[in-house]
Amino acid sequence: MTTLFGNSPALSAEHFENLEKQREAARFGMWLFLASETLLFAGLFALYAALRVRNPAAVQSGIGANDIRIGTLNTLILISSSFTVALSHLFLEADRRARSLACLATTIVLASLFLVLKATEYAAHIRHGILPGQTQFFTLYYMTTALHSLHVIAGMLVLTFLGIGIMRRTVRKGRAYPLELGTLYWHLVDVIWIFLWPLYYLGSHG
Amino acid sequence: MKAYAGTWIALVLLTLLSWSASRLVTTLEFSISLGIAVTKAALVAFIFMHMGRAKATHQAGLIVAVVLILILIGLSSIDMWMLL
Repeated sequence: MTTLFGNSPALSAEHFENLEKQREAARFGMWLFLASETLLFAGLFALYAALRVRNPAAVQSGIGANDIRIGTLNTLILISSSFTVALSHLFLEADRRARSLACLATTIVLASLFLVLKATEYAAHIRHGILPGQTQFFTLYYMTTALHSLHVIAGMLVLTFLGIGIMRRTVRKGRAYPLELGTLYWHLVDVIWIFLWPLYYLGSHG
Repeated sequence: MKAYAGTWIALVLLTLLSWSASRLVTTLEFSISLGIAVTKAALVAFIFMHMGRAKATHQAGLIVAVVLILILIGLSSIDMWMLL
């Protein structure tokens, strides 16, 4: 029987000796993927560092135009979503499916809230004539935050897919590793924002 | 469960501390904010992502990526600083 996350729920895929080896291969693949995702943002972080060294006044001026309240609220939202997604995995491992699903749903709601606030902030910038290409700071700001938002959207899709798996019981206690991998991805999205917040929001608001 | 809740509270408090520091301190605020961000990232990596329990081969990939980022940031900053 083919299920959402492989063959028979109890068996490993054909090319693995057993389920444990399949899990380990998947975990290794996910950690490598997280490393590549980290490197995807490396160039943008390096560009920011270069801009900050070359023209610190432009960076301070750009930060002053960003809404620190929205940035801080979004930080609290993503931190909370990391907590709820970690709980979701914990509950599934304890065979508490309903609680796991509730935590996963909360994570998706928090992610949606993050995107709504980000869109609100973009709209306010556009109203004030702050557009990509206008200054180096805001070109970098739009590129980095938009790329991060795309990762949030991808994470929401992955978590929704996993929620369907939990409802269909293809992801469950004893076979919860797809959720474990999904939560790892979500935590990375959170970690990237943890660094974006001080770079683009903190400073010159005092 | 308690460890997760404690970590979440610590992350919220560190976020508020970082926000307060950015308003109160003027000269060192960026370094303080980055230091707090590194602490928060470590909390997420070691408590939520269980990085400490991951196999060394799994950890190596991410550590190499972080080291490469630091080299890239360092070299770009030095290059820009020399152009000043």
